[in-house]
Amino acid sequence: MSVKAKKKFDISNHTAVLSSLIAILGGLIIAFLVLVLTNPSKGVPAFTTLITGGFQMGGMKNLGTLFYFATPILCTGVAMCVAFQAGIFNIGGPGQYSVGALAAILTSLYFSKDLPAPLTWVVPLLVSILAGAVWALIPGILKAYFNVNVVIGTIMFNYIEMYYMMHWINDYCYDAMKGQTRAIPAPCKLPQWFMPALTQNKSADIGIIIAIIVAVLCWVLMEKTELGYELKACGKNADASKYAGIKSKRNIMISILLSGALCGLGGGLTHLSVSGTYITMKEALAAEGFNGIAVCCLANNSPLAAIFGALFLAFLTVGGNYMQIFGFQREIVSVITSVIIYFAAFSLFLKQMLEKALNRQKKEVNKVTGEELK
Amino acid sequence: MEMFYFIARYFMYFFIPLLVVSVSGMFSERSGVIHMALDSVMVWSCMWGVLCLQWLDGVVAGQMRLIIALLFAGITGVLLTLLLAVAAINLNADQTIVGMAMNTFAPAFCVFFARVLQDGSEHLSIRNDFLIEKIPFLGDIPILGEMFFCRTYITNFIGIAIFAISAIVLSKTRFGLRMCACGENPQAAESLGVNVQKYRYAALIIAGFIGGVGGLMYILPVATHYSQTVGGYGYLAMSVLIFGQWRSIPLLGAAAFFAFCKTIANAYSGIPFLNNLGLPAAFYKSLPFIITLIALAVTSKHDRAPKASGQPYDKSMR
Repeated sequence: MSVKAKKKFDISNHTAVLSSLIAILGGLIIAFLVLVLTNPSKGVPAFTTLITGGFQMGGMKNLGTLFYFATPILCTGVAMCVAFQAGIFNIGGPGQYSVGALAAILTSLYFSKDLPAPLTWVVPLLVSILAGAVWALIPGILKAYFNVNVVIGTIMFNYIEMYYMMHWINDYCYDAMKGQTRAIPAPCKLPQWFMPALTQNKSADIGIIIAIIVAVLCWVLMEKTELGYELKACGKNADASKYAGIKSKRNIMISILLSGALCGLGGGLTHLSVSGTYITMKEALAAEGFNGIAVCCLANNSPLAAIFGALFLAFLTVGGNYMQIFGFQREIVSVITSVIIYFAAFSLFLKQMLEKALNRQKKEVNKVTGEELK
Repeated sequence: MEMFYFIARYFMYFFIPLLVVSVSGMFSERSGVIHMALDSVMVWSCMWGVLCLQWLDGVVAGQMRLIIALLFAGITGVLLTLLLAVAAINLNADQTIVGMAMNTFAPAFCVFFARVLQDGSEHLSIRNDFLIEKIPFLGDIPILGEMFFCRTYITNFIGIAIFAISAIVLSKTRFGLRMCACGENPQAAESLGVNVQKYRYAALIIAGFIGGVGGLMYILPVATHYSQTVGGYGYLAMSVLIFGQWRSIPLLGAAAFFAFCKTIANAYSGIPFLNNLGLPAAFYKSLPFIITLIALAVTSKHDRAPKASGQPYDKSMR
């Protein structure tokens, strides 16, 4: 009897997953309420379209779209995981993402298009990584050496990026006809390999594969290496790790630079994609940067789980694109995202409550079975 | 001279909302709750305020319409801030993440809602007939009258009043001092019979109201329609709060300094000297943010942040 019970799936060991699921459920319920309350007759079909990811409408072709949306938020999501685990709240995602995107565009326009084959797209990607890291550098220095709150530092850099982006685009790569950045040359786009066949989408590329590989590498870094251990120790208790001889300043710099680099990579991958993405002349922060926070919250700070988090949010985004048919806006996806982040904020509390409830249940079960045995 | 008066008025348009919203943040943070969501409260309440203005158009005339809308914006601000209050006070949440969640929520919801209301357009128009050409007597004072009491809005004076009352409440009244104690050392406060949870709720309700009012104050003089953004003002107000070291009088100085930078950023093309420098517009626009960072780098070594800010209150800790 007892052996059997051990083998059985014990839910109380998976409260982290459970609380993420509760967060998702909460988000979906709120979205359902908002949709139904604003338009009772169209709310229900709109909601079903949303949660089926529009696959019933667009068919398998949407798998490519899904990967396309998942790529940037997976990169920024992993970036947030790395930073949060090290105790750095990097909100600079939008800035680092956009700077990475612009760097990739400029490199491909002015430099790498005449290089030998694989370098045409590898070089812009590397430059985008570098650019993202550079954009995180100053907030990092300010945090490590001047004790400036990293949240404020990175937010300020988001706004500096937002204003300067217009200036840079206007000066170097503006397509006045379309009001956006110039299209990048064809050889600089990411290779496609087997992706079009797999997803039945002509413009699918290997972006998602690169992003997944990076996520796995980051997981290895955080879980299996000494550096990852040190970073996490700093995040758990900065003072204690200082006394243990871990250089906290160096670790702050490493984690924020890594985080910025990953955001930059996200920008690069998206803007080198085959489907073609442009930066428009609009004073706005890139949503991909903020959505990374949601991915990270869903994944409970684990780069590996971020893969699923990113795919899930991308799934909703694909569904969100069909909202206009029902007279709704795709912003409903952001509403869901925000509720998920909101729930994630007290996931610790939620976890404790779940554990308490499950333990109580277990005790009762034990009591009952104990009585039976008597 | 005309130019000088123009800049002075422009300055007030930026100064008042910044001051009011950072006071809102001050209430929250002095009681021990980090308020990352100032921006979302502004965006959200601004929408309700603007909607209220539209509803009242033709029903109520003159300044009364504005005052009712301000009150309404304040109340909606409280409702949104309660989300933060419940999570931070009852659910021991990570307050920064809650703030980020709310900052994602408000603009998205407001775009969604505005488009549902208006069948596709997200811009809510504002009919603004609140400009006061000249206040009797005060407007006749030389220089100052022209600067502050001509072509002004009633919100300017409400804003100053909010600041003055808040400063007195926080530093001179029993309620304010107890509230600050909850942000410095909640366990000690509790041991002396102060109900920490109750005081934090009170602080957040006040913060929500002031923040909501500030949202509508921001939009009124600078825009003819509302489009789900307050130009990062909530975040600027947060930096004002830090730059002002969470104390009312320094806060006044910090808000004035930021408003000045912001004024330069918006009016530089009209000032011959600055226009001749040939720097890009982006430089002036990002100037307040760059200066914030420099200022914070200088001041952050001696941090006077409320000590318990951001930590969930746990009675059993000491």
